[in-house]
Amino acid sequence: MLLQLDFNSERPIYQQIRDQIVVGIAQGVLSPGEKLPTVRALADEAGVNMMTVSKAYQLLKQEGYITTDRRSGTVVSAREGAQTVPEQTVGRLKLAVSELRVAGWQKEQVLELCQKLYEQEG
Amino acid sequence: MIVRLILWACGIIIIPLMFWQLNNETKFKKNIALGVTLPYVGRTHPQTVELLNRFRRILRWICLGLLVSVVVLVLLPMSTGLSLTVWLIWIDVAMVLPFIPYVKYHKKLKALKQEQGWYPEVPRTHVVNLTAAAQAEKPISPVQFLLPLVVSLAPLVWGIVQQDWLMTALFLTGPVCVLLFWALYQWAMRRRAETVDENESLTQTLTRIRRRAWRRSWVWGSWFMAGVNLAMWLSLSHPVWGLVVMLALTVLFLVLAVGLEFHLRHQQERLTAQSGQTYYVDEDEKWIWGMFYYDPNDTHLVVNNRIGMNTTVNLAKKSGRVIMGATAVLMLLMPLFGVWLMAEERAPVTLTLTDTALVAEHGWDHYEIPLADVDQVQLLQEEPEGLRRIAGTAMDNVYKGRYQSDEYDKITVCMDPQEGPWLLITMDDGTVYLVGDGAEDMAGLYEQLK
Repeated sequence: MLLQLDFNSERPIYQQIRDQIVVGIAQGVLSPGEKLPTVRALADEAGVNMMTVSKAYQLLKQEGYITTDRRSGTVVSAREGAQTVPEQTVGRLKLAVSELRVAGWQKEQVLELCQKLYEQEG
Repeated sequence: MIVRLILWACGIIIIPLMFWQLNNETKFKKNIALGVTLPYVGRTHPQTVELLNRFRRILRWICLGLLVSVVVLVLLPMSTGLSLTVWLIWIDVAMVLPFIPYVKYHKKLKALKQEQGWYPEVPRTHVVNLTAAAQAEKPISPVQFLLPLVVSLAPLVWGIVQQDWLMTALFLTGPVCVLLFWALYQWAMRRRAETVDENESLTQTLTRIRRRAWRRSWVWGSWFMAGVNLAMWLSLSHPVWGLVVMLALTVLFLVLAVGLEFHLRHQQERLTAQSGQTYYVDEDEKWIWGMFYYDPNDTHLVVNNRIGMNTTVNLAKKSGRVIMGATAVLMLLMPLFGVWLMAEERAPVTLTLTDTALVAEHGWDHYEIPLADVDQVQLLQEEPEGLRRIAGTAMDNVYKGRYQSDEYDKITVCMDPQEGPWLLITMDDGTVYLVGDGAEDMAGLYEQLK
């Protein structure tokens, strides 16, 4: 799986790493149990500070996307059924819906867009 | 003349090496030619082909010109010092000149790329291969470096046993280089995957062959240094054989190293022949003139060159600029060594007899022979049989430093070899000096010393 990091973006690099790994999991590119690189290996590959990768991994761990243990390292978590999503995600979705409402979008249009994006990511 | 011929024979190797390397840059590898990344469609575009052909033609002429210049410079009558100065200036010119058309055609190809809009669809971002980074790499066994280290230590142990500290210092270069190569292999080894496009197996193969070439080059380098140490040891007893072995090792290492680089380039060319048709990695913005890496977002000081197996430094880092600047300054100042040698050539050997010592001087070197410790003095009309240099200077007008002859293992020499006779002085502790300044009253000095 390839990550595309944009150093000119206002979005921090650790956030970009986190986001793209989440997208990878959603799209099935990263499957449950799949091993992720160590913090050092990913920092070396990306040419970024180890702290940046560590921060991204911590975030992913807090959100339950990955687990870390001594034997198998960092792996993608197995997620069965609907999980509770972090408050941040609900907040971002809320903001997006509000923006679409302000832009004059109807409920059906918003749902249609959501469905389209959901299918794309699947 | 022989020294000049050897010098130019060593220097002339640069021409085919530069030609092969730069000519090879016109063949697309990892979608890159002349340091410019192009999509598959851009590679066969008539304007691209024309630019690459024009560069090849100019390169051929430049290399031919350099070759002719060698013939002219070899034939010009020059002293050793002047010859070395001219040779070092020529080396600088030969290493820089072919890059002038390279930069020119790199810029032209880049302009064509802009004109045609040959950029990847994905916005320009830094590509990170998560899958490749997750694959554990098997580290090289330390035994691969330990073996040449042990071999290179043999002459050093001999030097210590013999209590020959000069030779011990010389033989130390072998093990030090092996350890340095070991450290450099690990420090300069960049684990970044060779991502060209979305093809994961291609990335894996390209990464694997590059790492293998990197490992081999340092291990071979270590064996080369161990071999050179043994050859130096051999030259003490069999000077001709020592030189032959050293020469053979150098040729072998050069052939292997160049062969390895070109083999890797050929594989990179072959494996990525069909790449760039959809998504491909374009990092041209990070490479100034296609050869100097500049990326302020990259924390690495040492990065892989995009083509071949070499590495370069990140000029966005201060330490990278210092390394690159120091290398450039060193290269530009190389001819000063020839100027220093010219001064050495012109300096005469002088012998001065004081109340307590006989002093032999040449340039910055000063040899003081205390008269109280002199055991025996001989006036030689001929040089000692088999006189050869171990460490020091051997020029037409001066021999100085540590020498050896068929009769004596160690002789400290400071003499003008063109004008005899010379004084062979044996000290109470067995130290032997061979001095002579070519003055007419050497016989008188000999009588005084006797």
